[in-house]
Amino acid sequence: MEARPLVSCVVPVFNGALYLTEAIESIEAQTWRPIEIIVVDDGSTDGTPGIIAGPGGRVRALGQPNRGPSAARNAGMAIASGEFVAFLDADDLWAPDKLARQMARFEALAGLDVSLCHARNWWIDELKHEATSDSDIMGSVSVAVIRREAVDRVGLLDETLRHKDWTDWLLRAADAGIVPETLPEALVLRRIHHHNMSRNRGSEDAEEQIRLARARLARRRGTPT
Amino acid sequence: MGSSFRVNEPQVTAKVMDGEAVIIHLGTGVYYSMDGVGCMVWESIAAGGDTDAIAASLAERYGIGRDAAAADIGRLVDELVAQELVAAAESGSTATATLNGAAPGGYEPPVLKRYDDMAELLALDPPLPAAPR
Repeated sequence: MEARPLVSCVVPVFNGALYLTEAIESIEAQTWRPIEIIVVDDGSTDGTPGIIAGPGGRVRALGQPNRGPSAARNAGMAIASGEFVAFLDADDLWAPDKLARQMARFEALAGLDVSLCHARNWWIDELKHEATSDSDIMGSVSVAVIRREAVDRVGLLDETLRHKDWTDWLLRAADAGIVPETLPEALVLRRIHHHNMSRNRGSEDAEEQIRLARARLARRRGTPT
Repeated sequence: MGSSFRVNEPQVTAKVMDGEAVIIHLGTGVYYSMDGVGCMVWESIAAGGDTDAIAASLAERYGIGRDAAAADIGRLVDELVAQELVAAAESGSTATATLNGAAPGGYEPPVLKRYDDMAELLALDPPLPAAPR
């Protein structure tokens, strides 16, 4: 029997002590093996380093001065040994069968490079009043499992993008001929709390979307940005 | 006197760089580009310029008929409004903005190019509400 491929699970974290343990536990609870867990501390100033260094040496730890989540994801990928890479934001959770469901797709479709699934927004108790019925989303990077070779082809995440690094990567992947498959099930819980990066990102977000559009136009024309 | 318009903020954001205007409707994820004469005209419309004055300025600069210029501007404005990129400015807010700079080459009617190939991806990741207090 052929050995199952290793999935490197990369968790970038900045001041995420409140939720990090649960995130790591949701990776450890995966029914898929083998996995490796890489936690990249993006210059936290709270109890995050203590949690990462916690008992059992269960994670591969990496630290860096604060450079933002895309740089942290890239740093994690740089030391990843897996044939596949998956991301989990430190405030999100995976369903126990997430990796198994997605890896089954890679086994079924030899040419598949990127597997996505849905995520469900999940409001902490204090913010239940913000909850909307339309809680099924797909934009989170926590849904992705990527064949490592696709990263080598498309390139790393753009570290100058603070919010749209993942969208940008998917656009570049599409332009490189990569067609992701999306499972219809929500296999990620995206925790909505007081400090999600998606809050207050209005003008920065708009600016990054313009950059993505300009870059895409340039790629269509074959001109450098 | 013609009409004047304003960019439909905050739903719409735009940037002019290297002679090209790139405009995004954040609600739909559709983006647009205008270059050449179109880029200059966009800058003037976005700055609240009067459409008749913009047409007159185009006619003079490129030696084309004033009616033809007005028709081109009218067509463009209709499309910008239909795509919800601009809305009529409140009366009395018309700026004196006309055309800045000069597009290289001769006159080409301004064209709004529309791209919806990012719409699906951009719609996947809407921002959350601002932080609650």
